[in-house]
Amino acid sequence: MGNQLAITFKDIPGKADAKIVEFLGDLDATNVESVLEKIVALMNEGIVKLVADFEKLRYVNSTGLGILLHFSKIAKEKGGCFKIANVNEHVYEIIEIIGATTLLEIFDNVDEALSTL
Amino acid sequence: MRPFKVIREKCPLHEGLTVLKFIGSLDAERVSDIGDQVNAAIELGRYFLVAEMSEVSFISSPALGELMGCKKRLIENNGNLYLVGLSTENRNKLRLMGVGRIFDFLPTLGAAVRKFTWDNENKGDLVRTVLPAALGVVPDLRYFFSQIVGLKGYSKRDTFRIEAIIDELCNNGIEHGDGGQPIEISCRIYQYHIDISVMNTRSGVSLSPEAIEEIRTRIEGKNSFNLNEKRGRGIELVRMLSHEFSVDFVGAKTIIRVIKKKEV
Repeated sequence: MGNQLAITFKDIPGKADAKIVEFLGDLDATNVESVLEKIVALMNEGIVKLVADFEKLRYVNSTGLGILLHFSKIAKEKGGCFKIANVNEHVYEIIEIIGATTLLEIFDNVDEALSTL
Repeated sequence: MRPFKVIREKCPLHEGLTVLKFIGSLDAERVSDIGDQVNAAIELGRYFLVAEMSEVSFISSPALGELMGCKKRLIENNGNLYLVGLSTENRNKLRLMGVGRIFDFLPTLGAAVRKFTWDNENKGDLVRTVLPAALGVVPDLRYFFSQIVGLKGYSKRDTFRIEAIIDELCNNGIEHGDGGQPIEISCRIYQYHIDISVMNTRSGVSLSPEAIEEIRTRIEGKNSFNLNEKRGRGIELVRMLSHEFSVDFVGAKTIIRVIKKKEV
């Protein structure tokens, strides 16, 4: 039971401390723990600059949003960053309504986010 | 092939509808018969008609044109014409001709009655379920409700918002309920708004006044909301997505009720 969310990591040429993280599915209370484990493990390995590609992320709830804010916070604490790209209009609306657009770095596409690394 | 016939009768399932049962082939020469029947109904003040087509073998283009004209006349009188019981062949033919955008193709008279009451009587359709207090069932349940809402003509944006509301209220109910007690969700879908209630039950006695006040404070947001706080985001999101939001206590049950209006 529970909602399956797949995340995959892609290297960024020339940036050993950065990766693209692709999300596929819904990010909610049933899977935030597993996502947290994977991302924190990555950061502990020194990959502290992450660009989250949300092109295939269909849905996020407040718990998922909380985890995104957490990633942003711990990445900054480690001298890195957590950027988000390709957010669909519905997910963006949730982020905007809750007031998190000022706390998260959101870009129209992955290339734009990468250019700021 | 059965000879052409039209039988006009009151709908046995709802007094607001009149049924025109067509039998045989709706050839070009039947255009006037169709028009005459509809006009006769209009003269009697009957503006909501069901064209029962289960025994219609063929629908010609002129007959279809006449049906479209009849629908237009009925709508001008704040009525409507529903097509019921079309054979697969006739239904596919009409869809190919683009008529699916004009007519509601309904499988049975009962479906036509439900459509009529949905369109005109504002009673809403009730979807109610009880789920176990387990987070794992929430994703499918929220998606199920959102799809039903979408089928009722709500926009993609609205269905997403409803999905979020259901999701957050269920999660809240599971988190703050009495472990193991089921959560009840009731969603009445009207044409222009949705009324959602989510109830979690605690076993045992009613809540104390202090407990009620604590819950009310938490849910109704008497303290200001802080996005960086780990708790409270879900309910705050629901409040922001809703047009009305309230919490009630009935015995040991906590009921959160939300009204979400249709986006226009």
